[in-house]
Amino acid sequence: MTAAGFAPFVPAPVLGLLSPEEWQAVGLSVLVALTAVGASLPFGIALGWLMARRDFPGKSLLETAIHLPLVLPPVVTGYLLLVIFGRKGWLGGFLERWLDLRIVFTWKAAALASAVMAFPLMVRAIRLAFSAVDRRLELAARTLGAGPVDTFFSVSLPLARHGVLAGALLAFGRSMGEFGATIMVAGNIPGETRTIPLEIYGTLESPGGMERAASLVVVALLVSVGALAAGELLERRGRARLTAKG
Amino acid sequence: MCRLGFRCEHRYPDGFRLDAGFELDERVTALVGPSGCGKSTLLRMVAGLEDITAGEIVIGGTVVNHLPPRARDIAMVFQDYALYPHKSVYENMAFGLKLRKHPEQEIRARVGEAAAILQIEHLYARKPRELSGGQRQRVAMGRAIVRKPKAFLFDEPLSNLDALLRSEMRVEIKKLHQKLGETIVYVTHDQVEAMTLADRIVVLQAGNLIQYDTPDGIYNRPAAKFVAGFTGSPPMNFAACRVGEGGRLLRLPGGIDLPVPAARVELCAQHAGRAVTFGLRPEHIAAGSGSSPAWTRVRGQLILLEPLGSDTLGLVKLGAGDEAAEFTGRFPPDAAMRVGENLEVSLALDRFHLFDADTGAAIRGEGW
Repeated sequence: MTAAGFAPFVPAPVLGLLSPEEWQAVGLSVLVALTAVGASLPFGIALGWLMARRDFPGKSLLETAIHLPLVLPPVVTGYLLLVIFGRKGWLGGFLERWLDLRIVFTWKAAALASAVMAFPLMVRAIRLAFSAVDRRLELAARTLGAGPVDTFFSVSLPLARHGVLAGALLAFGRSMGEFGATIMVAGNIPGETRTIPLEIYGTLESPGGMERAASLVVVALLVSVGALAAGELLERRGRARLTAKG
Repeated sequence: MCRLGFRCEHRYPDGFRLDAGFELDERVTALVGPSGCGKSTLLRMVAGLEDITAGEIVIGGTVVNHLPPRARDIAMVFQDYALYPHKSVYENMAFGLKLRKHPEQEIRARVGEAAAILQIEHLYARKPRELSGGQRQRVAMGRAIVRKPKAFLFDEPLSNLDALLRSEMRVEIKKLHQKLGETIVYVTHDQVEAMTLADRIVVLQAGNLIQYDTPDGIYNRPAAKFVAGFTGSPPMNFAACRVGEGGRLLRLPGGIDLPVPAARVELCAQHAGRAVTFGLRPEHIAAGSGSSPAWTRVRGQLILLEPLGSDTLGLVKLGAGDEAAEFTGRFPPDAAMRVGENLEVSLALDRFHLFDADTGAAIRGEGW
């Protein structure tokens, strides 16, 4: 998505607030974040449920692996992603040779980096949501004739949906702001991988950058605060629903 | 309608072992016992929500040990109803049928039928949180009824209701059973619920089946001191006792010697000289002289009075001394008695119970 891509949807006075390059960064960030959340959500739901409801050998190991991006320097996460998805990486090489799919230094890599970095936050919110679902409701479904899959889709998931949405929103907010891992695997290519944080970083390096970056900083702030607030609100509503005796 | 056979064992991770076997049929069977006795686990094993360690569960002639809950054709009503907060009353009731892909028209008919029996048709569109406790209870039962299962499993369904509503719902469940005639297994820790609702009662203690009997048998011929102390309100009176005179006399503390009726002498003689526990229900203690020759008069002192309206409970110290036993008697409300006074009470000695002092097992002869 480019600046021109926004023109039909945004009123002219608003359009004037950001430069075409900045609009491009905003559009790209939205695309990257949506892709990251969309692609990781099914895994997030599966892992969140698994963590909340099942005990299995290696559970704490898996938990550590999921949480790793929270504590690793983002640059290190980016490095590891390069090792795996790089053109000579064991997965990246395979994808390029057999599917003609190149990931690194494209917007897909930015989405991948964002997804990995935001995954712990997403899984945590979803796991909490599943934990809060009364187990007896699931057991009741089993006695009423539901198999495990039916029970999940008609009871567990609908009851946990506020928490799942909250997790997705948090992950969206986190993805919009991803910088360290992104610059490692996706580089800083205008119109391809230059998202809001990278655009701000780039602007700051040029003369008078502090002032010119301000408007994008405001955009980043608004997006983050909005995602956090909405996530929090949803989580609280979900809790209220579940604690209201039924 | 079906027969249900149960002969299995469940080991808890903490080493507790539940081991019970019984068979039941198209009647109401209550599983009773104090919390932690294994009654809920037992019900969940029947439902398939809990694995059994050994043995087998038979529902309607089929061994269901390895069948998942949905293949067992049972319906369970949970303690706090387990209604789906995100579904309306109608959707909650239709849930089981929708899962089985019944045609919409049939679902509507069957939900309507159940709702009519339970008088909850006007609540169709409401969400569970908009219902009162009694209404939720009805919806939970309705959700079970629409499935037309082989057996209903109730897990302490009334324990969240207040006393008045509880006795109301008890009557409802009894009526429901008379209407449907299905097999019902009912878990409760409330002996009144078990006595009033059930045709058969299974008493469990610490994972073991203590007695499986009719309410009459449980009340009048308890198999153990535990069962006797669990049923009746107030429960049976107990006193340490020694059998003397070759079985013709029961010596209670406080200097009370009770003559054993002729029919029971032979059995008591087998326990002559041994320590046993003497038991007598409150209704078998009367103020003054009793109504039949078998009643034996004993001197005592009135310690406490508890007027209930319909009758008055009086705690009486039998005999004298620090070790004297205190028995609760059920007296007519108009009996002129004052706390602290010395009085004579009569004990119905053709109705006493004896229990082994060590094991608590009943010592009982033919016909009593």
